Amino acid sequence: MTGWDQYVQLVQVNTPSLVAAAALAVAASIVGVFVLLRQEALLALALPQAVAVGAAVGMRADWVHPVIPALASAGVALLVVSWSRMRHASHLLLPVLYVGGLSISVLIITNSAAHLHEVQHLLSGADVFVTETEAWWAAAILPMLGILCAVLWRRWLLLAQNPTAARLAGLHPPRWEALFLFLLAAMVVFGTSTSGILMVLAMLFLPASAALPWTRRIPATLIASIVIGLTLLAAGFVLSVEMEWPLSQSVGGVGFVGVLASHGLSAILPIGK
Amino acid sequence: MTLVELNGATFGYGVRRVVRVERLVLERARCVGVYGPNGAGKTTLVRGVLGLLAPLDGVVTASTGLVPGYMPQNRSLQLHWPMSGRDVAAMTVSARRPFGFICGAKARLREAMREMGVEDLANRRFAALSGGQQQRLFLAGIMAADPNLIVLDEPTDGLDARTRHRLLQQLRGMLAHAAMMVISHDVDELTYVADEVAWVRPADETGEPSSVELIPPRELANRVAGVKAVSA
Repeated sequence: MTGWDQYVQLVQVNTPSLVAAAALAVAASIVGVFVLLRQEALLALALPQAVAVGAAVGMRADWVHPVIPALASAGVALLVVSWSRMRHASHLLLPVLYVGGLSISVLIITNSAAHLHEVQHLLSGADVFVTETEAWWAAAILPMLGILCAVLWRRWLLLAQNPTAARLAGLHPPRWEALFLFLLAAMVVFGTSTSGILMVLAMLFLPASAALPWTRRIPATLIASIVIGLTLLAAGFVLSVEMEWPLSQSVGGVGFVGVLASHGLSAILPIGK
Repeated sequence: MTLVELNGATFGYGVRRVVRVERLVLERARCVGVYGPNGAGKTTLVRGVLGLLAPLDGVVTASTGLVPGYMPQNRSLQLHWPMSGRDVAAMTVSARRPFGFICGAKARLREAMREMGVEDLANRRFAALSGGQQQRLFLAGIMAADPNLIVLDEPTDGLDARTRHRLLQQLRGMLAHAAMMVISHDVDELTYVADEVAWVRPADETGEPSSVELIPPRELANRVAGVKAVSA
């Protein structure tokens, strides 16, 4: 068992990674609630793979800021998704985007030894390197994205339940759709570049999925999801130290068990019904 | 007071002409029912009345102070969202406010919920309520936004006879403040609530838009009974 002093030292050494991961936990736990409610999980799975393609291009070209090509590739992916939605064919294209991103990001970087490892780390979430500056940027931007998404909860509810009423009130549902996709994409880009794809996906899906069976209102779901997200990060960190496991996988493993327990208990207990 | 007037208006999508109406007037304190088979163009007609579709030809005149309220079909709701009765009732009000904030409208919302007899459902999980309670919460939300044109898409669909009757009475009560348009497949419902019925009939010839005939509700009942008798 690791002692308290050693934990303090580990936290100090890993402060940038942990700060970035905590910021991601807050933002992704919020955005993830709406991703699940809007049934956009396939898009959320495909988007990080598209981001990885941009990051691979940036690394291959030795760009100082690989986040810029990552943002660009996310933008292109969203344009493709929007176009396919207009043609009612996004369900055919999203799985392809996932497989394409997963393959092409590695192909771009193959035969470029150091960068290949970097991309593999980005995909697996193990040992993602993050500088202090990147961590503080992530800590500033990610929670703001999450808060904006949370503040607009009545809009997302209205657009899902009664889009005609929204149009009658002068709102433009496709623009709000675009805003949601932008928030999701920005969160994925900053989250992936600082914590890796697996951590982004774990924080998007697991806290929200664990919280939703227990709550009867969106604000309560958002608060519960944030608390669960941060708890998962702490539990995953302890597990990764004690078992010498990678952090993202530890968070994912704890979260998976937590979600199963949450759904099992919610079927028995009447809370939130 | 005339809120919306349609003269020789055709509505459709792109070059496809779906429904044509020679004349239709929506006035305060009057209810127009919309009846017709699936795919005839009822929804397209309503979208045209609400200004969500521009006419392909003809004229649509809307009052400058038009405030429309719209209740969707109950089965189109996504009940997996965690939402309380108050959240659903607040939706229409929130649509017209910046960021969807409803501060400043809470008192009016409470009052509308009280009028519809659903105040005690405010904190209940919406998905756990009965169909009638859900519809009344939606109506309370529409009333809270003080619309002068209310459009209801199959408001009593899936309700039992007692709940349906109660809801129809409440709909008649709402007519004092607004014009109403009710889409329904239920002749009895339209006979009770509507002052006239827009019967949307698909054209026999392919390519022609559906036509709209305005008839008294009693006549609709007779015609539908006649169609059934012939079919039998």
